[in-house]
Parts: sequence; C-alpha cells; structure tokens
Amino acid sequence: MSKLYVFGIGGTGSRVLKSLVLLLASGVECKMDIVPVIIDPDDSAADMTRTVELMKKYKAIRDNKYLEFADANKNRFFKTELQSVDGMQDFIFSLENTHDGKFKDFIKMDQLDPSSKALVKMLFSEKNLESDMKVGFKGNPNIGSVVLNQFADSQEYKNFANGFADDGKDRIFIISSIFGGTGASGFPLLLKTIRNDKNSPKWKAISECKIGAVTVMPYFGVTQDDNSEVDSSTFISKTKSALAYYEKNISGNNSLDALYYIGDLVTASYENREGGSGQRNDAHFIELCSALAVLDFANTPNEAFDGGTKHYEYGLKDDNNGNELTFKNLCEKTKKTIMVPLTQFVLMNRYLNYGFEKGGKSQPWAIDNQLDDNFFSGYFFEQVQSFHQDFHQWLEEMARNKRAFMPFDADKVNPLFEIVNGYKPKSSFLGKKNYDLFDATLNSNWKGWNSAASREQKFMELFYRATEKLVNEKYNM
Amino acid sequence: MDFFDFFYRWKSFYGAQLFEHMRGYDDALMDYNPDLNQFPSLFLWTIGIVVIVFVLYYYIINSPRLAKWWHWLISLAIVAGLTCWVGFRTVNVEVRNQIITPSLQPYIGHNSALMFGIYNMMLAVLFYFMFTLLFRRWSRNCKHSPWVLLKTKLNNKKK
Repeated sequence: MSKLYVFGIGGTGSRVLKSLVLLLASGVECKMDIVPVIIDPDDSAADMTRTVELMKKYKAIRDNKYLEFADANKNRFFKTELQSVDGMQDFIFSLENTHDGKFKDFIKMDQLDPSSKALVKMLFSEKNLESDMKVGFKGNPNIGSVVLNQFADSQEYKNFANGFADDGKDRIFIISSIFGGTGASGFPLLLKTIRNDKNSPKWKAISECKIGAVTVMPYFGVTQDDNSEVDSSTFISKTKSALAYYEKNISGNNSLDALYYIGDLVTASYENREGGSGQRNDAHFIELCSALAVLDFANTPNEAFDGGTKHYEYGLKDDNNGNELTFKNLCEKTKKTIMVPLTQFVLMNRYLNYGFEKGGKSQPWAIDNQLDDNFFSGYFFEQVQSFHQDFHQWLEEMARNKRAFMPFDADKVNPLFEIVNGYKPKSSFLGKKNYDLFDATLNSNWKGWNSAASREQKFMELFYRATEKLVNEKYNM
Repeated sequence: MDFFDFFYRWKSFYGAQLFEHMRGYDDALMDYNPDLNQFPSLFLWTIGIVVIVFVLYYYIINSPRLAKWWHWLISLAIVAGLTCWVGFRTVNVEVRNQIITPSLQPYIGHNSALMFGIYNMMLAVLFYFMFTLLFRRWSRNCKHSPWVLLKTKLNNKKK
C-alpha cells in the first residue's frame, strides 16, 4: 500500500497526530499507510511524549504477528498500518544541537564579525538570543526558521527520502500551527526542503508528489505571564503575518497541492508553559478536525489535486452558539466518517472497562476462542487496555475543553447504550440489555469465522463484529 | 412393568406398599387398576418441570450474566425443590384423605410421602443432569455452565 508521510510539527502537530492515531484505531477509513514523523525541538514536551507512547502502543497491537487484515476478516480496528522511517527512533525527527545551550550559541554569535552581529541583533531580540533551545522556540518563528534549516542535512531526512516510493503514489502531509513558533516556522521550511532539495536521493519523486498540509489557526490562548515568552495576544498578529507569507510563498507558487485551514473563534485558555513536561494541553476538537484533514487528503485520488493548490476549510452544521458539540452538530460527511467507528470503539472501551470484569473470561466467546488467563494477562491485552485508557482520556479531555466536544457521555456506565449524546437507543422490552446484550452479541455464531486465526485476531474480530452489530441494532446512524 | 413404572422401581427407598398404591393396586379387584396408576402423570409432571427449567435456563433466559456454575446449581435446586414437592404432595394428599386401598393403608404415612418426594427429586436431578450433558451445547450464552463442554476442551487442547 502507498504511504502517507505525516509530519507533525510542534505541540499542535503532536496533538493532531494523537487524534489521528485514535481515529485510525477506531477503524476510520484511511486508504494509505501512515508514516508519522514528529518534528519538535522540545523533546521533553508532554504532548509529544504522550503521542509517541500512543503510537508505540498502536504499533504493538497492529503487529503482523497479532493482527491481519485479509479480505475474509471484517475487523477494521487498527486496520491502517503505522510505519516508521528507517532509523528514526520513536517517530521523532531529531534536531541536532537544540538540546543544550542558548540560541546565540546555536548561531555561533561569538564567531560572527561585527556587521553580522549587528544584523543578528536587528533580527532577534536580546530575549531571543538568550532563549534556551531545549524547550522549543517558545512561539518565536524567527528562531525556528534558523534552527529548522538543518532538515536536509540530517540522516533522518535522507532515510525518509530513501524510503519514498518512485511510483508517484506516496504522499506527504504536514501538520502545523500558524500561531506558535515551531509549527509556523517549520512548515514553510520543510516544504521548501521537500520541493527543492535536489541532493535528495529521490528528489524527482518527492518534489513531484502530492503534498497536503493543515495549518491550524488560533484555537486556544494561554494565561498572561510576564516571565513567559509565550504571549497569546500575539497569536492573531502572527497568524496574519504567516497567512500573508503563505499566500505568496506556499499557495502562491503551487508548492502545495492541498491546504486545509482550521481555527475557532471560541478559544480555550491553557496555563502558560513555555515547553517541557509541563506543556500538556487537553485534547481539543480542532485537533480532531485537523486529523480529519489528513484522512480527507489520504482518501482523495491524485487527480482531484491537479490544477494548483486546493484550499479547504472546515465548517460545522450547527455552531450551537459556541457551546458543547455532539455528533448532531457535525455535517453529514464528518458524521459518516467518524460516528460509527467511534461509537463502536467507545462500546468496546466501555465493555473492557466495566463489562469485562463481570465475568468476561468465563463467557463462551472467550472460552471457545481460547482467550484464557494466559491471554488476558499477556502483552497484547495489556497494550489494548492501556490504549483504551488513553482513548477514554482523550474523550474526557475533549469533553472538558473549550469548545467542548462531547459526542459521548464519558461518565455513563449504565445504561450502556445511552452513552451516545443525542441518540436514543432502540429499546426492547423483553430483550437483553446493557452488558448482558454485549456479551450475548459476542457469543453469537459468526458466519465466516476463521477458527484457525491467532487469538489476538479473534479477539479483535469478535469485538469489531459485535460492536458493528450493536450499533446497527441500537442506533439509527 | 409399564414404561413409567420403571423409573420408580427402586421401591425399597420409599416403600414397596407405596409403589403398589401408586401403580394402582385395588383391593376390590385384587389387582392393579390401570386407571389408578399415578406413575405416568407424576413422571410427566416431573419431566415437565425438568424440561421447563432446563429450557428456561439454557434457551429462554439464556443470560450471559447467569452462566456461572452456581447459577446452574440454583436452577438445579429449583428443579429439586419443585419435583420433591410434587412427589410429596401427590402421596400426602392421599394419605390425608385416606383414599388408599385398605390393605395398604397401614404401611403408607407422611414419612412415605416424604421419602417419595425425595425419590422423585433424585429422579429429576438425574434427568436434569442428563439434559445438561446432552442438550446445552446449543445454548448461546450458557453452554459452558456448569462446566466447559467436553468438545470445546478437546478442541482447545488440539490447538
């Protein structure tokens, strides 16, 4: 299958990748394999760490020795393959010389002649020059644009280029915010490198491939802190400047095939953290929409991008006056893409968290498929449970953020099928209910059941088929 | 011996005279009156209870939440209780109303009724156990109650 290299730049890049991975886990369709690459000088950023951990779990679960996706299998949970660039550890594109020292040391200011020094002082404030590089560019794209110029020289970039297919089917997608430091500066630089680096081993294939990008405009602010270099009052002005730059240098010269814009007038306010492990923002609906941009790009045929840069925006069917959103507020296309997969995955999540402990192990679905204590205490199940905890947390975070996205009642345990906000489940007076119905569905005699499949495959297949059936029976989606 | 009498042939447990009475012995005829033979109806009641509880547990309620061995034991206890009561009551009513043929009356009392109830219960338990062995495999949710099906055990061992 062809590959989509997804570069997530900065904190927003990591968070969008996280949403993308969770959507893929739930079985949202993606017609390409995904190769995530995180570019962030702040290698201790909690958002990045969380995303990397999540992707590692996804890869562990999706491992070929556990799951296979032959035509006979119905399961779509974890269907899309996550690959990594050869030699790239934990999906991270490591930036050299950014871990220690100040910006002025990085540019070797001491070794510059007086006229160059004077020019540097004109371009960078004293605060910029004294800036500690190990926590990123703290909202300063002028620093980022210097530091990130090292893309093309890095071994990771060469490995990426070597792995790029010559057949013109592989694509690239870049995720960045426009109002910060790392994303705003990294996006144009990366694009320029990709399109113009003639020393790259696969330059022709890379320079001619379809490239898409989502540029995330302000959707959160940070609290005012005079000691912090991050100041959200500059977000709008930075966005305006960057947009003007993009108009001329990105979409203006057709170096991009698709550009997705996203932002929101309703903004959350986060605690002011310059970076590091303290930069741990709650998941946000905008990040989910940005992940949808990646999927839209991956699922659109090449021909659709012919004839210059295509611009896309995201809109809601109903804004709900800036209040919390549910599936009902989304347009049909989004609903069609995510509603059923997410509902299926949430049902699985609830069962594993609350239904399983009520005797899941002694059910026929477990016994008949050899899902015994050995399986439920093993590595695969441990990873699945851990992944589901992250999924649950992601939903909780989106629900408490501003604007809140709460398609599910995150705290509802019972009645199980009333968890989808705005959708009343069909009820039957005498039929089985709640987790009883879930177990009974898992215990169904499935047609075309591959009894020779691995236990992990059977486990995932069972939960996919059962949740698919339950969603069909219970909701009018 | 009739088909139904066969199931109650261990008469030493509850008394040979009661067996004769239940089979329909009539002093006036000096023989068995087939119209008074209570074994067919009693057996059908007993088997009926077994079948109803079995079908209810395995195929109608058929609940994943009631698939533990002790749930099966509860269903067995229900069968045992009901069939014991049916057996006891059948005899006890006749003892109380003195509608037992005179030659057998001195030998049949409330104790015989109780022992007969227990016998009927054991018969029912035996049938319930046999039904469980033979007919539970088609139950979607309770087929491994009270223990895992032998076929599944062998299949899992093979893999």
